[in-house]
Amino acid sequence: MRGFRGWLVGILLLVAAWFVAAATPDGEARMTDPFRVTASLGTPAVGDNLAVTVRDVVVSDGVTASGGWQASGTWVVVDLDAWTVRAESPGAIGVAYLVLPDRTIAASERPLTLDRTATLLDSRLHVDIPQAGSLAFEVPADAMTGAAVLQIAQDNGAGPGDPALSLEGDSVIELPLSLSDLPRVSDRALVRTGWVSP
Amino acid sequence: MGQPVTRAWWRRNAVALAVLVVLVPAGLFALDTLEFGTVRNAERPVAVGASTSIADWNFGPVTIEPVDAAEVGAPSGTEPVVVTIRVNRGHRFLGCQAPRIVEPATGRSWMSVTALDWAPPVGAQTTCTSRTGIPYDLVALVLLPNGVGDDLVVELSTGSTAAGGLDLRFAVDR
Amino acid sequence: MTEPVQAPRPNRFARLRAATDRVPTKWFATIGTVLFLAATAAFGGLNDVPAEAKVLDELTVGQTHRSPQLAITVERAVLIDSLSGTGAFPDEEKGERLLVLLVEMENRWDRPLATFGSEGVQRAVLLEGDARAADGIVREDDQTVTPWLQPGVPALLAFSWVVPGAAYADGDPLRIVLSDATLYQAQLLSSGESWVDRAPAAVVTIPLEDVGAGAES
Repeated sequence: MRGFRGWLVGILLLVAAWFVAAATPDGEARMTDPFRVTASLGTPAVGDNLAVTVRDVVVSDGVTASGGWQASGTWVVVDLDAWTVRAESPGAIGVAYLVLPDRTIAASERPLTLDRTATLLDSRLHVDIPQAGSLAFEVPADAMTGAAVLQIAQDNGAGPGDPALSLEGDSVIELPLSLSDLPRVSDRALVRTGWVSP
Repeated sequence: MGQPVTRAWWRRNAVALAVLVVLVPAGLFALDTLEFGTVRNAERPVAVGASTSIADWNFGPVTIEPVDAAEVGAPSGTEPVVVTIRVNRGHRFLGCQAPRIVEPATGRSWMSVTALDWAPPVGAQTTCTSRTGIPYDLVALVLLPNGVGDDLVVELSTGSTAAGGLDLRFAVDR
Repeated sequence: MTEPVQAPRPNRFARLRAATDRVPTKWFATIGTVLFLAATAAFGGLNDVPAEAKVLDELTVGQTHRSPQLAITVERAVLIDSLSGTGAFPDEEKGERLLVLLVEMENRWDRPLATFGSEGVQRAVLLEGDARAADGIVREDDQTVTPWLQPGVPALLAFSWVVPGAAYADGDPLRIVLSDATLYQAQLLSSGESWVDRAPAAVVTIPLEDVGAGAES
């Protein structure tokens, strides 16, 4: 195309390209970013497959769990119901993070040393049959101020290390928390994984 | 630079345009139907009450029977059921996973549970391995929530070095 | 595109040959090298030649070695016949025993660290002259095997090696090499950060205690 028509088509294409570029997500929102579902205390939050209802969040100065396990230190204990909505594979809470203002804590695997059902971490969940249990986060003693986010997701294969890798490509359920508003107790027993209504 | 040039443009770019006409719809179709990143076995549907063969093995018929919830320790609001698949085994090796129940209407699926108080009946087993050639029942206990319909599919994933992975989907009317 | 085409085939080949004649093939090597070096420079340069062996900090029991990733304090070293819960299993018949280090470790990063796997911190504590990572790493308090280190939460860990019983004796000055890693930010198509290039940074000299069959855990 020559002359006026060529220029017109060229400019129109450039304008169209500008719109496409503007619509393309950049920076944080990349292709593999997780799909976030915001939860609130007491109401079910449904992700791609995982679903939870967070019942309670407390800060405790010591924890005990079924099987006889116990630990001292500062712990954030989350009591929740969990189930899946589509398939039972992977069908488990594979990663859970407590994102503090300056660091990210992964749900502790320590209670599982004596009893694999002591926390909901890695417990097999069932489609539309909820189970109740707990997640426990071991935190530094001086970290209990500011805003935090509880993140719960299935294991995408990367394991509970760097959240940037382990939350890629799946949905994550997020519960915002205000750390200084959480009830503080001196001791807390984790809820052993079991049926919500036996 | 009027009519004659326009006609020549179509003709000059006929090949490219023909390729576009084929590729654009094909591309849209591919994006819509191809499941990128998922690897799935081939599927073979089996009619209600029928059986099917893989190599020299025969699977079917398949039934779903309820069991007493209190007996197995199932929680309230659930229906535990036993899936039974008749297996006539052959000589060649064939592996299989525990059967699953799929509800095609909603896409939900349930796997067999091991945490309940249940053992296979005499003559039945929960795996595909068997030393003899005697036919047996492959059974699994599956915990369903209340409200699952009657139109279900029992899915059995099998695998052999010869045929690769094959999912048998038995239609069941419970 | 608007040139008249007379005899198609001969003309196309002739034009092609004329065009390729104009490509400066002997410049390819130079252009290629320049492009390669420019790209390498853009991505951070070629690998450095390893520097001279750096002088390692000399530490004793109870002194803390800090790196951007970890704070490590070696508390105790014992030689013991065997110890359940350490994750290491010496073969008595072969005369094997366990060398157990009690090490307090604190994750100084802002994300959980593993004590296993290709990027785990198990290689941060090694016996001098032995390239093997510990056979078993457990928490001293609840025997959690290959524990995760949460950021800012110190943990007392037991690093255990299966060693030939005759190789060590009570009172031996054991030298333990502590290694530091650097944080690497993945670029372009990969994401996340990881710790790479672990290299020795300090040596802790600690007297080895032989506790025989052991009475404590």
